[in-house]
Amino acid sequence: MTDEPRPSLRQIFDEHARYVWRTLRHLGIPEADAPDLCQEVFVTVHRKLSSFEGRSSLRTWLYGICIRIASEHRRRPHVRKETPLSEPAREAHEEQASAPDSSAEQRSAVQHLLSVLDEDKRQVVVLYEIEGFSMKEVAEILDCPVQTAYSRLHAARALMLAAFNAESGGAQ
Amino acid sequence: MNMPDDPERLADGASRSPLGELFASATRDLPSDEQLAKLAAALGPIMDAPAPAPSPPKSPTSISGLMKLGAVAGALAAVVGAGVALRHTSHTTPVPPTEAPKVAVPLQPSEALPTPPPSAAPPAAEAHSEEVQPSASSSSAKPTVAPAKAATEAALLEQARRALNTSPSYALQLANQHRARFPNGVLTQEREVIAIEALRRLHRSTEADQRASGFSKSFPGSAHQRMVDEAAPK
Repeated sequence: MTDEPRPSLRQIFDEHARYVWRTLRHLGIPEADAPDLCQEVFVTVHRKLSSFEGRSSLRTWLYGICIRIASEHRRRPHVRKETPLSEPAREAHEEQASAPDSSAEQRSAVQHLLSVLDEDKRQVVVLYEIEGFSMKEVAEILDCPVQTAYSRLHAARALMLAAFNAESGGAQ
Repeated sequence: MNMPDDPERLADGASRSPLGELFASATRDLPSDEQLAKLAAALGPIMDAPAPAPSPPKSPTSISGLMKLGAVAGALAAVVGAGVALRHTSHTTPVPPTEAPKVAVPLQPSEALPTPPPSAAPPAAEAHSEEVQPSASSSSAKPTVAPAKAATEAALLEQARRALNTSPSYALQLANQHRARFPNGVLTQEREVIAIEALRRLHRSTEADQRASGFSKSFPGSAHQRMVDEAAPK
C-alpha cells in the first residue's frame, strides 16, 4: 500500500479520460456507446478508488477496469447480436463530408485491422501498440504471463499484416 | 514506456511501414473537447465527491452493474440522469460542465428501511405516496426530493435488487411498493429494471414484456434500456 495521497476522480478524469475513450473505441466499442461505457469506467473508478491498494500503478489499474468493462459490454447479448467487431467504414458524420478525409480513412483502416483479431490479441495490440504500455504492464493489466502477451502480440501482428496485404492486393 | 526486451512498436517504424503509419494515426484518434465536456458533465455529481467506502462482494445478479445503491446511490442516480441527458444532447448543444443534477448527496448505506407490508398487494399510490411534490409525468420528474427521501428510495431498491437472486417475487413486491410510495421518485427507471428482471425470473414473460415496452415509451434513450432489453429480450 502506497502512502501517496490518492488522486481525486477529477484528477484521474482530466489525465486519462481521452485515453480511456480511445482505448474503448479501439477495443471495438462503437462511437455511439463510447460515452456510456466511458462513464461506466469512471463510475467504477469512483466506487473502487478507496480500495485501490497501489500494488499496481493507477494507470494499469484504470486500464484493467477499462478492459473488463469493454469485454463485459461485448458479451451482452444484444451487443453480440447488434454490434459486429468491425464497424462500418465511416461514421455517419464522416459520410457527410464531401472531401475524402485521410485521417478518417486511416482510423477506419485501423479498426478494420483490429477487427480481424480475437479479443485477447486485440487487447494486447491496443495496450501495447496504441496506448504505449510496456509488455510487462500489458501482462499485468490482462493478468496473463508476459510470454503469453508476447505470443499474442506476435500472432496479432502476423494476422494484421496478412489482412493489410490482402486489402492492398485487393485494391490494386 | 518500452522495456529493453520489448519489440519496436509499429508506430515507431511509421516512416518505413504503411502498417506503422496507420498505428501512428490511431494514437491521434481522440475524442473531441466537446465529447469530453459532455462526459465530464455527466459525471459531475461524483467528480468531486469523496470516494465511497470499499463496496461489499459483488452480487451475481445480471443487473449488478445497474446500481450500487449504498454510499453512492444518490450520486449514481444523478449520474444516470445526466447520462440520459448526455444521450439526448449527444449531437447537439454541449452541456456546460458546471451543470450538476440536484441530487448529489452521498447516502448512508445503513439507511433504515420501512418494514414491507405483509400483503403482496401494494397500497394505493395516492394514499401512501411520500413524494414531496408529485409532477405530471414521472419520466420528466426532476430530482428535487430531499436527500433523506432519496436515501429511503435507494435503500428500498437496494433491498429489492438483493432479493432478485433469492426471491424474485419479494423483489417484485418491493419494486411495486416503491412504485406506490414514490410514483415520481428519482429512481423510477432503476425500479422498473428490477421489476422487469423479477418478472422474467418468475417466468411472467408477458408482464415483463409489457413493462419493458412501457419503460421504452416512458424513457426513450434511457441509459438503462440495454438492461431492460437483456431482462426482457424481444
